[in-house]
Amino acid sequence: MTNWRRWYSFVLGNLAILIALMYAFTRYFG
Amino acid sequence: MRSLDWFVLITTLAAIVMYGLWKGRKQKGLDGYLLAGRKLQGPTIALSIMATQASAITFLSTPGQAFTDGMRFVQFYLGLPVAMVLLAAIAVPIYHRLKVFTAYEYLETRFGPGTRAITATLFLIQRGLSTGITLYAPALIVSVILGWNIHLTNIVIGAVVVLYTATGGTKAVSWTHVHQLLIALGGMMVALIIAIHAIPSDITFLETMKVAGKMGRLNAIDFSFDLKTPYSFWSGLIGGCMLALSYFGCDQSQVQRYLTGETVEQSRLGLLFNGLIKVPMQFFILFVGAMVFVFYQFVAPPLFFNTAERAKIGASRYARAYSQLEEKHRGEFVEKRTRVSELVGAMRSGDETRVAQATTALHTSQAAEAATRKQATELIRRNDPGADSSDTNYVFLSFVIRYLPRGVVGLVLAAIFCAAMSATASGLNSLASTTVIDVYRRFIDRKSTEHDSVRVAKLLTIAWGVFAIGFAEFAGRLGSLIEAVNKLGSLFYGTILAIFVVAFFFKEVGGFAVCAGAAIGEIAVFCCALFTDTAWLWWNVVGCVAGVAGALLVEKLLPDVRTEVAATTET
Repeated sequence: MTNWRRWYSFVLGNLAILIALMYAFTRYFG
Repeated sequence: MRSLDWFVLITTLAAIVMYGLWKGRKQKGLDGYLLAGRKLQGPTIALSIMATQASAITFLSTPGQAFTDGMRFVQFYLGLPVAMVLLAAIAVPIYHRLKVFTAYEYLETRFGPGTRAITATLFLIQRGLSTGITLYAPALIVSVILGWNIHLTNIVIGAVVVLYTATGGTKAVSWTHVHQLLIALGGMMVALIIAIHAIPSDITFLETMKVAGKMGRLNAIDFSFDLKTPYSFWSGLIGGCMLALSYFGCDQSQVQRYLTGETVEQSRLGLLFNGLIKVPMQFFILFVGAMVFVFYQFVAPPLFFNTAERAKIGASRYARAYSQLEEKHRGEFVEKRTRVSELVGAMRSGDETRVAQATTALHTSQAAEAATRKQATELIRRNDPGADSSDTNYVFLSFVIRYLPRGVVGLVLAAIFCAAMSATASGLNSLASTTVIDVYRRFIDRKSTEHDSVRVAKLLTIAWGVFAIGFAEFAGRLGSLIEAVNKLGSLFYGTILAIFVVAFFFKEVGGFAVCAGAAIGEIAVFCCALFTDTAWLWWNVVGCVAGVAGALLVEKLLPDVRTEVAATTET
């Protein structure tokens, strides 16, 4: 049985990490 | 274009069509034709969803967007992963349980045939027109840059898509999507590598990035809150989420992609993979544009990238004024290149004061160049008020044709046509499905056999294909109406989402209240669009919130109407 809550957290966590990385990218190169 | 480019282009497209025809053979029944027998797996569904959304304009216009405005457009996609999670959790199990063919079929079970008919009709109008534009837009850009015949390009690409979509149905569409998306991304990857390689070797990759950043092209995230800013973190996360919910949850061209899932799990995985990959993919495409921008700091760009408009003004009474501007632009470019070299030198010295001074000087040259470009567009508009005064869509293809080696040009063009074909195929496939399920089998021939329905669906795919090609042929004469049609779509997305939100979450609300709520939502969106400067992503939020609130209010205030309407329907 797939644990969907874990999947949803994974997708949202991935989004949060991407935002943090893109923000760091903007700050570092901007 | 050289013969090797033609060979790569024709071989790639022919292989895709042959593959589609082969994959789509042996279809059984309506389920097989419209939903690929509901047997697809998560990764295939994910790539199909992504290929549907990524049209040729995504690959042509997005790098141009980064070139002119920087990478902030990536924020438009921030709400998408959130929407994928919500849809996977809420919509997918409902659609699977009811075994529906279209999203609008579900609405009848909740509100009756009227709501289903209205939303299906709205979809047919909006998607019918936008599929025509999906064909027209890349044909226009390719015809301008390469001098191809736009009508012939429209007809050939349209006919090829109709061929495998009509014969193979959804199975052919979904499987070709996988390869089309991989080719499109592969083409962009090759373009990126060559763009980076073409930047002078005396500047390192890190310095390249820093130059792009100092010139405002790596501005991916902006946390400031301003309703008038088109792309910020907040508009992308909230407005983008609403738009994605509406597009992926209520638009048949997307819903049909994940209805093909073998189980609820596979459909969910398809959506969630899309949620994981979409933001990095868009970042990558924008990054290609940022690198093209850096390339043009060392190699002189044209003053205006649209060659057709350039030729027009060259033959007009403004020709002399335009060539003076070109001369001025060349001088500014040389000065700006010196400023870039000074900035690189300052960065290497590690002296922060020198870096700040060099950055300010570079910004001054950048502003002077931008002012000259603005003067050029004003001149183009003065010469012809109906002229296309934005050259964003032409930046990337112009770069590809002029600076990429032979063979690679054919590959990138194949990538662009693959993207055009994938989005068009989904459009035609979903238009035929909605017409056959929500109109033909519901209102015209309710006793139609599966065999008959499949035959009608095939004919409808051809008919919608002819309509899309016809609209694309005619689109050039509509001028600014194309933009109006695109905006028209975003005017309705919020309200359609409101209808589905009420259907999913507010079981006590009936058909009358939801229609009244939709009308209230639509009025709110139109007021917003006509009387305020609110950026268009927020219209989706306004339409959805006002629509849901309106439906709840009407249900609360006029509960009797629902009972009366229900009674009338029963008798």
